[in-house]
Amino acid sequence: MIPFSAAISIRDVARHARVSISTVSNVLNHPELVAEQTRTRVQEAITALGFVRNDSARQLRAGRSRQIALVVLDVTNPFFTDVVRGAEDAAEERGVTVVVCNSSSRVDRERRHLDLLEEQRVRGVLITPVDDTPTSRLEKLIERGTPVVLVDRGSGWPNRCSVAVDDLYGGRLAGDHLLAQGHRRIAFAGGPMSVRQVAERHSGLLGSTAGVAEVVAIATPTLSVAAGRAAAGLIADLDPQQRPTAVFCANDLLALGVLQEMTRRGLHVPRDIAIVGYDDIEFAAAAAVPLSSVRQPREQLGRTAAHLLLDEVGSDGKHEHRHVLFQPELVVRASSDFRRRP
Amino acid sequence: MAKTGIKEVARRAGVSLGTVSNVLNRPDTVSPHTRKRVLEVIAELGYVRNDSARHLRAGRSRTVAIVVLDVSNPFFTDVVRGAESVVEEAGGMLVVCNSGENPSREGRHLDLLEEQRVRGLLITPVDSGRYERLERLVERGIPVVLVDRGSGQANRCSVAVDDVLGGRLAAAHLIECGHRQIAFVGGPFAIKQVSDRHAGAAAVIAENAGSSLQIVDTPSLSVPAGREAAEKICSEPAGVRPTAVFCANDLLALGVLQGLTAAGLRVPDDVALVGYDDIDFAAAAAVPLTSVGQPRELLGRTAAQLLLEESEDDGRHGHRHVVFQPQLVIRQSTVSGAATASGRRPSQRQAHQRR
Repeated sequence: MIPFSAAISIRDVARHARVSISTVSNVLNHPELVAEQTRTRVQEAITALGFVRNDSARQLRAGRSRQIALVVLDVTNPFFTDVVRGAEDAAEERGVTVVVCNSSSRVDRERRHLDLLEEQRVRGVLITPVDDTPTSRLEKLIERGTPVVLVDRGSGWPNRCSVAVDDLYGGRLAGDHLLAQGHRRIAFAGGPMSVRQVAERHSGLLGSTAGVAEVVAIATPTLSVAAGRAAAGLIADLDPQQRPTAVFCANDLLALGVLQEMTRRGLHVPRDIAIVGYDDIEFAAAAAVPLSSVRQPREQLGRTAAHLLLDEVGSDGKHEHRHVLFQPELVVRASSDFRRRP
Repeated sequence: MAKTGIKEVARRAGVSLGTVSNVLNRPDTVSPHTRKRVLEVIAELGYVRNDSARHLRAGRSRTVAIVVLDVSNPFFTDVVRGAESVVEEAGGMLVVCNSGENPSREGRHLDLLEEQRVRGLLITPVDSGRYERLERLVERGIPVVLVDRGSGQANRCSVAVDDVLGGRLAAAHLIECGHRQIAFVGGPFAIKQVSDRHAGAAAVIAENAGSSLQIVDTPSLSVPAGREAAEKICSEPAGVRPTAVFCANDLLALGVLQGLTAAGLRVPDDVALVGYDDIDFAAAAAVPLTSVGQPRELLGRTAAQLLLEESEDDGRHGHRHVVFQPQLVIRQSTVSGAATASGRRPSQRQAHQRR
């Protein structure tokens, strides 16, 4: 049942004023095109019937808006803003706009955003969820018929699509590269380990280096530039004989912090210490020692997620859910472009 | 799919429609016992209050929108964070729309936001010549506050940073460091911030005999555009080549830094570099950037406060134009041995208000 379905329509107004529907439409949109006498008659009919021309009403009839939402964990992280751009491009091709909601990794904010989005009848939601337990707000949203696609999360759930990048493989790529460059003692900087992406990148590195190189894990409280600077301080303070010769960082923000602190302390990157980041954000290439990084297809992630969502919206329930897993690739730049003897 | 209506909720709970409505809108007027029963039915049926329907009656939404030029520019995401904190404290939520510096995309966002009757709109418009579109929103009772753009218009508020002063600060610093051949990298000039920052720098150059300001026009305010600008600068022979570059924002400056470094020029010894915005990445560049700092979160917070004030007080609101003062943050890209990244942050800024 759609509320207000019995509301006065433009058809009623036309009948009452004994004019065509397009004449009423002209009175509403281009009054200068309509003879004054006709215009008066139509306006009297509008008043008499209490007709409200209103876009909310239009939206109620259509049931759904021409808008999808993208709920991100951190709108200040360039990773997510690139995902946004990809989703926007795909949505725009299909005449849909994207609004961005920032959950700041907080469950309460995520819930309030989803409340409002459901009330506004958005056509669908792309989300990297904070809360993906079976009792979450997101679960209710899906049950009540709003299509959802998970972004940067593998799913396995039967009732939604997902797009993600293989983080385990990304960690392996970084490890294989550093081994090939002759490193035998490697630091991993990242945290908290409860973040799935961090744990998987770390596992990938361990898998690649097992039995060949030693890995020292430096836990960071956040994935920020400042945390990277602090981690670099810990590494640089180690006895040069014991010090790792390379650092693999769980994201590029950390790697930029490490680069900055190593440079400040007079250590040469990559000769004294090599650095590999993760995400390949624009600022990675723009660092004065351009950063090697594991590239995620961020825009493609957003584009694919939006396409899956809009396919589901247009499918009348015949949509088959898909789980798309992208493979990352390593981009080698100056920060690790130095071969040392093992 | 069929949605559960309020009538169904009332029938199941054995109460009147008015009682269900009271539970939703004025829960304090309903006895705890009845309230509990109605809420249980709502949960059981999965009833979702339809905001669109409610807007027809109340004409109000809890959503405030911000339309930014470039969601991937950290300047704007910091403004968003500031606005978000104020809107949420007031019980609303902020949604972000990205125009991507594209007028037609901006138009589509505005159309939808108008249909949704958002509570209000914060916007940095793509083109200062296109204010009419915003006029219509204001006429329809959706308050608009311009962000980072002096308005001077009587029917809306604005918050901005004095970009002419910012341009002056950057150029004066470079002159003080002994530079006479300076380049301004920025564009398109239709963006008011760009032309204002240039105007400020040009005024300082005009006051200093023997100095010159060359313009390197860019198609956008991005890192790749900065790299291309650096190529142009590097292709000029030493002696003719500017010894200092002032960029219209930090993304450009980071691109220029990368381009100069790739060409074997040293910053600041061969070419000094000043950016604008003082985004976090400015301090984090391996040659930390001197930059003109803007109070980004404060800008967003103030804009949201003005908007909420206006949307709350039916017509008695007096529009204001708040202008913040920028501050120069000096780092190693202009002065060897200057404080490093973690160094001085712009301190308390003073705002002056024009009524």
